Amino acid sequence: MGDDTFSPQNMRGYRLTVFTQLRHAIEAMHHPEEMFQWMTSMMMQRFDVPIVQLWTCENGWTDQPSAHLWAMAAQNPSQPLYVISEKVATVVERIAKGQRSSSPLPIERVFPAYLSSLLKRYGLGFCAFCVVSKNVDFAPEAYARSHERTAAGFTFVVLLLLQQVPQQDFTPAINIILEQALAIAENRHLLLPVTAESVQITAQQEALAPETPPALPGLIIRKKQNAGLMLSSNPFASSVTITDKQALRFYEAIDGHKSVVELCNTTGMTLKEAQMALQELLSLQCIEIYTPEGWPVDTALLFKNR
Amino acid sequence: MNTRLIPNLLDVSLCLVALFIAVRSFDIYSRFRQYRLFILGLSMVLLSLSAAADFTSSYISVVALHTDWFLYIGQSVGFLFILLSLVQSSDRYLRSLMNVNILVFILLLILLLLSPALPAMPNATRTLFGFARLLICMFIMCAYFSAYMNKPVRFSLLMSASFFFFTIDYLITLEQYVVPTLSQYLFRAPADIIGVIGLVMLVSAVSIE
Repeated sequence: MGDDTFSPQNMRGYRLTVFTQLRHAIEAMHHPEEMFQWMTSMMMQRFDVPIVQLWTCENGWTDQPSAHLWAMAAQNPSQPLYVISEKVATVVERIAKGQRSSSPLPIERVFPAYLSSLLKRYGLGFCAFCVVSKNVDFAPEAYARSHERTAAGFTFVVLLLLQQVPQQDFTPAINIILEQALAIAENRHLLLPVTAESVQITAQQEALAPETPPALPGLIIRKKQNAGLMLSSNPFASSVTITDKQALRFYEAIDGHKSVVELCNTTGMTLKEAQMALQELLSLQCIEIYTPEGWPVDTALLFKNR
Repeated sequence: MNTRLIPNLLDVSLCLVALFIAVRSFDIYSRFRQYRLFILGLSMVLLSLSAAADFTSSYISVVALHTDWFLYIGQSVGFLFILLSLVQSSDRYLRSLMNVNILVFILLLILLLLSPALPAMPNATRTLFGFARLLICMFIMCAYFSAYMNKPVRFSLLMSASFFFFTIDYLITLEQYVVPTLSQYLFRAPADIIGVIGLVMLVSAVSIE
């Protein structure tokens, strides 16, 4: 593993590269597993991760196991790939229930002792995981549910087995890739929206225009701190001038905690109008967009080609 | 000639200028949520209060108001928060700094209210805080000058000039404590005049668009 593989600059660079390539590659994909396999391989190569696995667990079920391995990539074929996969399912169920991503942990803190010692024999001493819960469904031919009742979406788990501890930006970068890849997949209809009777869809979500990024309603908007303010620009003369009335109304409602949907409720705007306002505010560089977990969203990719 | 004329002029000017900047800062902060503006506003309130307290104490003789504690500590802290707000611009850093600024501001208000009960400020303490204030102003001047060198705009030039005059003002003020009492007046007047020039530069910096 190169010394600067996990430097913040590289993290951002890798993240952008993965996205740019995914945007092109997804054109030729027709099934979600193609995208998942592509993603795990890309994460393995770009981030130099020995083993990457992508799992899903069905939401809303705590008693029945539903962990499903969709894709896996490994650098070394001699590593215990499928043996690990079968035994890891229980751990993944637990991770999915916790609904929290984790920075790299010593392997024995995640896996049972016997599995930890097996992984350590292959030099895999650390494990990180990214968890994203999403109200999406798979086409019936792609995925058979573990039960017949209506679904409440899936929890996606990316499991990363590592030889050494990467920099702290590593897990957030993987998490952002996962979130945005899922958004792209949903946009490309590789993942389907959950049907109306299975979940409570808010009026705002129903009004989601087809060209609106699927992840947008849940994202958190914050006002951007102007780095040059008071240092190289007069704070009283060069404050942001927002001429668009709707953008200004939306901007004034931003409190740093509300999601796009909540801001729509506050301002009485539709998601489509909010998206226009957001694009205006982004062009003026006076806002930043974050995931609910607090990770920055690459806005260039979020609104690309829209 | 009234020996308090120029110091009073400086106090009143500083109080009004700082108050003007504070009000504008809070007004813009309420609309744009730029934490740096809140910190500037609160620091300016502190400077304004310190000048007002100094001015008031020179006219009240019924009780001895030892406002020098608040004057020196308040101004040092006010300038320190302005300097710290220029160091980084991350959302988390500025928000934390703003919270600390609010807490420190409350503590300093308590110090101001305790002025009648405080002892007179010893010269050594005065020199210490005077030196701290001088250093902080010098760092702010350097920050603005460096910003000007990176991006030559009038605002950073005027701000660095303003803090240059404040630095000179505080340097001369500091020197008066190491000369005989009689000679102190020779230092005080020029220091105050330079302070007023610094304020004029500050007003120019924030007023010229």
